[in-house]
Amino acid sequence: MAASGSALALAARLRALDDGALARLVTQRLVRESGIRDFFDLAEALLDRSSIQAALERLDRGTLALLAVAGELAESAGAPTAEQLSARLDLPVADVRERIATALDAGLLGTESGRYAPWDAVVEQLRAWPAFGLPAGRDLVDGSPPAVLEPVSEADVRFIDRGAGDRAFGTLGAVTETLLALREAPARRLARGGLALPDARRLAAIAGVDAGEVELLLDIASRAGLAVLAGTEWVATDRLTDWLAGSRIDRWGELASGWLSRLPDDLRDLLRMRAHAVWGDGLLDYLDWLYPAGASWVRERAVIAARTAELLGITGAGAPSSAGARLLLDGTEAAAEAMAASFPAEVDNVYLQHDLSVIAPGPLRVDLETRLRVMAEVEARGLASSFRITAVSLTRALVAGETATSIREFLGTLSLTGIPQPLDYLITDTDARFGTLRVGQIDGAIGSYVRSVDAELLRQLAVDQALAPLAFDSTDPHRLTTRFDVGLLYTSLLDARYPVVAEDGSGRLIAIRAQRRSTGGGELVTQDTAAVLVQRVREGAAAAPEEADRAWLARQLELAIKGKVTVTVTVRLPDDSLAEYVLEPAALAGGRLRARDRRSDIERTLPLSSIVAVANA
Amino acid sequence: MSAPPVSPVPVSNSGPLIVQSDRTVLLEVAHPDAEDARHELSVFAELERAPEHVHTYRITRLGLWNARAAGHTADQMLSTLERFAKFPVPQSVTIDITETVGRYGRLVITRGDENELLLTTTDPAVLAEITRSAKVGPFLGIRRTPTEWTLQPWARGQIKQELLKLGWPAEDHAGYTPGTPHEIGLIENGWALRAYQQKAIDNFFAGGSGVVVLPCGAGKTIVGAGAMAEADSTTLILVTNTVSARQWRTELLKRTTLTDDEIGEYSGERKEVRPVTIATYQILTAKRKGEFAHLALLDALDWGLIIYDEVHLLPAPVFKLTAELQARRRLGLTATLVREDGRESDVFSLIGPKRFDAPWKEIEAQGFISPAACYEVRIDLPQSDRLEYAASADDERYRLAATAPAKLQVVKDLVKKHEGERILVIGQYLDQIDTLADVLKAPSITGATPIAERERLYEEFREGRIKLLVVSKVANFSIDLPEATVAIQVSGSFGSRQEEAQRLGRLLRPKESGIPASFYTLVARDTVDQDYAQNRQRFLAEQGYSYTILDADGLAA
Repeated sequence: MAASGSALALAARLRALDDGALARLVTQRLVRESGIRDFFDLAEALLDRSSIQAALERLDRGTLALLAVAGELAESAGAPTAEQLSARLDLPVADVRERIATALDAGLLGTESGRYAPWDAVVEQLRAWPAFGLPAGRDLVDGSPPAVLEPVSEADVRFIDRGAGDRAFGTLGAVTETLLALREAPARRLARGGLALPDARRLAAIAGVDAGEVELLLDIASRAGLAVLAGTEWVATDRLTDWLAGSRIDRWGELASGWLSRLPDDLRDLLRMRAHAVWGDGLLDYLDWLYPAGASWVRERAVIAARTAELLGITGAGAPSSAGARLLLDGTEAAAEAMAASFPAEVDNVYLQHDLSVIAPGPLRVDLETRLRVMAEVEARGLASSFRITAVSLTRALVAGETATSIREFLGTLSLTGIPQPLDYLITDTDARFGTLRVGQIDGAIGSYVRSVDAELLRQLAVDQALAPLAFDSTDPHRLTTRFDVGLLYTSLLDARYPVVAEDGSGRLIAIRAQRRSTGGGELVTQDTAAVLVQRVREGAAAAPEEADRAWLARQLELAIKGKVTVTVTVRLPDDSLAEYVLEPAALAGGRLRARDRRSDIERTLPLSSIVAVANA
Repeated sequence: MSAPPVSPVPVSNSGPLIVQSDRTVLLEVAHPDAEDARHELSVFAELERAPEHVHTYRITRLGLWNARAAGHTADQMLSTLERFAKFPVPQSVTIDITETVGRYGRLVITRGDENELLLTTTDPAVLAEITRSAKVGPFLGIRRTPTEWTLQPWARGQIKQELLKLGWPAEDHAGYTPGTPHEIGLIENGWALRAYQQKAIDNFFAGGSGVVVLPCGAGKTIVGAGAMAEADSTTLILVTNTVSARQWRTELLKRTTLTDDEIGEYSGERKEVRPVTIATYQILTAKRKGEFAHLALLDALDWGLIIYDEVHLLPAPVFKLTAELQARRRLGLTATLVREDGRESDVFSLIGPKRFDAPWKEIEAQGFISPAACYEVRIDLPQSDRLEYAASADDERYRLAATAPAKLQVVKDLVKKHEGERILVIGQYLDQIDTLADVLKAPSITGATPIAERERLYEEFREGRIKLLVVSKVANFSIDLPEATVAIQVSGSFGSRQEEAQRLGRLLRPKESGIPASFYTLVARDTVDQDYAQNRQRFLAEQGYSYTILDADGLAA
C-alpha cells in the first residue's frame, strides 16, 4: 500500500470511530490541531513518520514484535489473521488479540475482514530502526530479558517498614487534601504538560507538600480512579465520596491497589517474582528492554511509579516494604493488614483553645473529622491535625444544616476541655447574624441581588466604598441588585465582613465558595485540543449529509490522484444499477472525475454525482 | 516465596508529645508527664506557641545546634522524643536530628602554641569541603595538615558566621581574655538570686559566651549583675536607650558593691568610660562622615565581659562590630530569640548559642510574674458612624474605627470598674489622647512630652500619686514606662509580635500588690479594628493568656 493508500484506509477507519475513541487516539498520539480540517488531514498526520516513531516508542516489546511480524507476513503472504500471527509468534491467540487491540488503538494497524497489516509508514519506520541503534524485527521477537533485582535482607525490611508507614500515612493525608481541594476547584493542566503554576501552588499548600510533588499525588489519585483529567482540568471523580467515608487503612488500600493495577502486566509479574528485592537500576534495565524505543518516557514513567510507590509506603529506599510485598503477592487486603500495624491509632477527642484553634492529638476518627471539617478550616495536618474555627466556617456549617445548638453539642462532646469563651461568643454572634444578608441570582436575567430585612444595613452596603465596583441599584429598601454574578457579589460581601449567605431561586440556602482566583493576567484557558479537533473533523464531515458524502468521496479521490493510487469506484448507472470500475484517477474538476480504467485501459470521465463509493483496489 | 512476618512497629505508648514529620512537636499540657517532657524538649526545640492546652515546639537546625553547644547529644534528644512520644517518631525526623546534630563540632576553633587561631577537625572531608568555599577562603591562613588550618587573627567572628551558613557550625574553644580585674560583689540585703537566675549564670560560665533567655520581669538585669560579680572584671553593658541605661545604673547601684563613680554612662548626652560602662546601641552605631564615631569605646578598656541587653533588638551594625570582639566574653540577655529580621543565626554565631531558657509559665507559677487576663471589648457603632465608615476609603476607615467616640464611654466604664488600680490608657492619635485626657481628667504623655515632664509623671505614677495615665503608642513603646495592673488599649493596630510582647510586658512586672493584671482592647465592631483584634487574640492566646470577648453593653451593666 502506498502512503496515501494507507491514508485513505485510515481516514475511513477514523470516520467509523466514535467520538470517545477518536479523542483518545488524538490524545494518545499527541496530534496538534493546527492544519487539520478533516479525516484525511488527520490520517496523514497520524501517518507522519515522526508521529509514528513517537507512537512506537510507547509500545512494549510484545506489541512491537506483533507489528514487525504482521508487516513481514503482509508483504510476503498477504495480511495475516490473528491465528496466523499466533502461530508465528508462538503465543496464545488471546494474547495476540490483546496486542492487536493495543496496536489498533494506537492507530498503527489496519484491519479488514479479520486480517491485520500495519500501515506502510509503520513498516518502513520499524525497518529503519537498526539504523538508529534500535532492535531489528527479529530481535523484537526473540530477545530475552536481562536478569534483574537483588534481594533485600531481613534487617533492612524493619528499617524500610518504619519509614514506609510514616510515608504511607502522610501521603494518604496529602492525597485526601488534594482531592478535597479538587472538589472545590479543578486544577488546570497545561498543554505542554504539568500543572498551571497557581494551581500547583494552591494544591501544594493545601496538601503540605512541595509544588513538584503535587503531580505525584494526582498520579496516585488518578490510578485509584479518584481524580481524572477531564479535558485540560484535573477533577475529582464521584467515587471520592465513598472513598472518603472509608477507614484510613482501607483508603490506603485503594490507593495501593490503584498503583498496582496500572502497572504493565509484565512488570507486575516481574515485581511479584521479586517481591523481596531492591528495584533500583536493575528494574530500569528491564524497562529499557521491555520498551526498546522508549528510553526517555519509560524512564520518566518508571521514576514516577517508583516515587509514588515510595510515597505510598509500598517501597522504602527502593525495596518493597512488608506491606508492599504483600500487595504484590497476596493482594490489597493482605497489604492493608500489614500496613495497619504502622498506622497511628485514631483519637475521638480534640482540644479547643482560646485562639479558636482545634487540635486533634492524633488522627481523628473519620466520621468526626468529616463533621468537624464542615465547621472548621484545616490548618495543619500530620499525625495530629489542627483546625481553626472562623465566622466563615461556622456560617458554612449553618448553611449545611447545623444549628448553634448542634454545633455546641458536637464540639462539647468532642472537646476534652469544654468550649472556650471566645469560641462560644463566636458561635452566638455568627448564629445571631446568620442570614441577615441573602444573595441570589436574578431569575431570568443577568446579575444578582442582595436582600435583607435590615434596611439600614442595606443602606450601609449601598454607600460602602469597598463595594462601589459592584455598582448597586436600589430597587426597594430591602433589596439591592448588581449586574455582576452572585459568586462575585458573595465574595465581595464576605471580604467586606458582612454576614452573607447565598440562596437559590426558592429561597433555600445554598453553599457557595468564595471566588478569589484571579481571572486577569494569567494564561488564557486553553481548550481541550482533542475535543476541538474531533468536533472540527466531524463538522467537516457532517455539515449536510449529502454534501458531506460527496465531499468525502471527492477527498478520497483527490488523495488517490495525489498518490497515484488505484481505487475501486462504484458508480450508479442511469438505470439505477451499480457498476464497479478499477480506476487510476487522474483529475477531478467541474464535478467530473477523469480516470484511467485499469481493466479496459481506457480513459473514463465520470460525474461525481454518480459515484457512490470509493475503496482501495 | 512467602512474605516475611510484619515487623513489630512500636504502636502508641501514650506520652504527651506528638512528633510531626514537619519537625513540629505538640505537647499535651494536661498530660501527667507534660512538665518533664517540656523541660527536656525545651533543650533543643523552640517554643512557638503556648496556648492553654497544646503547645507547639519546632525543631530547627539552630535549635539543635544550640542544644549541642550546651552539651546535649543527638541520642539524648531522640531518647527524649521517643520516651515521651505518643506515636512513633517519624523516621525522617530521627534521621534529620542525628544528621544535623552530627554537624556541630566537627569543626573547632582553638588556639595553637603560639596563640594563633586554628580551625581543626576530626573529619578531613568536612574541612576539605568548607575550605573550597569562596566565602571561607579569605579567613583562612595556611593548611598545616589535612585536619588543621590556621585562621586570620581577625576572622574568628566572620568564619563562624560563614560556617554556620554552610551548615557546619564551629565550636569556639579559643578562650577569652580575662580582662582587667575589677572586684564586683552582690549585696543581697532583703533579696537573693532566685534559683533559676543562679542557674542561668552558672550555665553561662560553664558554656562560654551565649544568650540567656528570660521573660520580661524575670530579672534579666539581676542575671547581668550576677554574671558581673562572677566575672569580677571590667564590664561593658550595651543597652537599647538612655532610659534603659539609667535603669541599669540604678539597679547595679542597688544590687552590687559598685559605687557611683565606678559606673559610667556612654550615650548621646555623656561620654564617661569607667570600669563598668553602660553604652547605648545608638551611640555605638552613630556615624560621622560615614565612619562609626565611637568605636574606640570597644577597646577603651580591656573589658572582661560584654553584656548585650535585649539581644533581639541588637541593631545590625552591632553584629559587625561584635564580630571583632570574639576574644571577649559576651552575655546576651533577651526575652525572645525571635528577631523580626530573621538574624537569629548571627546571634548564634557572634554572641553565642543559647545558654538558658526558662519557660514563661513556669516562672509565673513560681509567682514572680503575675498572670494577665486579656479582654476584647466589642463596641457597636451608631448607625450614623457606620454609614460614615462604610462610605470612607481604607486609610480613613482605620482612623474612624480607632477614634470612634463610642469608645469614650467604655473607657470611662472600665476606669471606674478598676478604680484604685494603676491604669494606663493607650491611644494612637494625638487628638484622641487629648480628648481622653480631658474626659478622664488624667495627664497624658506623648512623644512630644519633654523628658523631665515625662519622668516626673512616671515617678508619680510609680509611687501611686497618679493612678491614671493616658499614653501614646510611642510613649508606650519606651522602656521606662512603669508597671500598671490595667492597660486599656483604645486604638492601635496589631504591631509586630515583638511590639505586642513588649506592650504586655508592662503588665507582667512582679507585683507587690498581687492584683492580677488586666489588658483590655477596645474594638469597633465590624471594622478593621476587628481584624487587628483577631491577630492579637491569636498572639495572646498563643502566649497562654486567657482571652475573653465582651460586649460593651454588657460591661456597663
